[in-house]
Amino acid sequence: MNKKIIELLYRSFDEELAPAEQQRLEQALAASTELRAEKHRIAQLRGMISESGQQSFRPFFAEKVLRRIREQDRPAERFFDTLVAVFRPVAIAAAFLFLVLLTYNLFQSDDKTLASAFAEPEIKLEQALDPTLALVME
Amino acid sequence: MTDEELIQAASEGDENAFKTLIQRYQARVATTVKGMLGNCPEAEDVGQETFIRFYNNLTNFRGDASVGTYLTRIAINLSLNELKRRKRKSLIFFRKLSDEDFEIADEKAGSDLNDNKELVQRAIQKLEPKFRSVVVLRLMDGYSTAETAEILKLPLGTVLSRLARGQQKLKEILLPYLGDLK
Repeated sequence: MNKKIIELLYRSFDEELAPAEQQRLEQALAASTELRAEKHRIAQLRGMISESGQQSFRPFFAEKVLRRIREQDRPAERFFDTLVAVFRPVAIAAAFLFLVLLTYNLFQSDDKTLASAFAEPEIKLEQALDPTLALVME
Repeated sequence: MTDEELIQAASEGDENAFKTLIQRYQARVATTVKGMLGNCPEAEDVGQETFIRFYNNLTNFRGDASVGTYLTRIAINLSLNELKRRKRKSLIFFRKLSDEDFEIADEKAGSDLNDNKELVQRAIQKLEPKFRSVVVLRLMDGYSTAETAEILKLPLGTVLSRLARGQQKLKEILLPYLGDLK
C-alpha cells in the first residue's frame, strides 16, 4: 500500500483533511480492498483502545490523598513516622535474635535459671573471693 | 458546586471541597496514569501525587486550562518521570523491563488474558513513552489532537505522526487478536 495514502488514512481519523486530500483518499479507498480492510482494522483498534480507557483507583483513594496532604502539613510527625518505619524492622529482628540466643543458652546449660539464659558464668565461692583474702582466712 | 467554587473553598482550607474535586476527577487521572504505567502499585502513587501537586498549587491555579486538563498535564508529566525512573532502574540491574515485566502474551499467559481491556493495556505498555503518551491522551482520554499537543507541549504535526506510528505499532501487536476481540 502507498505510504502517503496510509498516512492520509490515519490522519482522516483525527482531523479533517483538505478537500483534495479527502478526494484522493476516497479514490484510493474505492480502488483498493486492502485499503478498505486497513481502514476497518484501524477503526476496530481505535474502538478497542477507547473502550479499554475507563480506569479507576482502588477504594478510598480520596481519603488516602487527603491523609497524605495532612501528613505533609506536619513535617515533624512525618520525620518521626519515617524513623519508626526505618527502625521497626531492625527492632523486630533484634528482639527475635535476642529470644533465639536466650533459648540457645537455656538449652546449652544444665541449670535452667535466668542467669544461665543470659549466659552468666557460674562463679564458685573460691573464685568470688579475693585470693589474698583466702590466704588470710587459711 | 462548580470547579471554580470548589477550588476557592479548598484553597481556603475546606477539605471536603478538595475531596469533591478528587472524586470528580479521579477517574480521568486514573485513565491517564494507568494508561501510561499499566495497572501497577506505582500508578496509584502517581495518581495520589498528582492531586497533592494540584493541592499545593491551588493558589497558583489561574484557570487558563480546565481543571481536568491541568490535572492530566500533571499526571502525564509524573507518569513520564516514573517511566524514566523505571528505565534507570532497569539499566542499573541490566534488565530490559519492557520486555520482561510487560510481556504481552506468550501461550501460557494468554490463557489469563481473556479480558480485552487487559490485553489492550499490555499492548500499550509495549509502546515507547513518546508514542504511548499521545495514544493515551487522544484515544483513551479522548482529548482532541490540538489539546493533546497543548498538554504535551508538542507541535500538532508531531502529535499526528506519533499517533499514526503508535497505532501502527499497536496494530502489529494486536493483529492476532483483532478478529477475536469484540
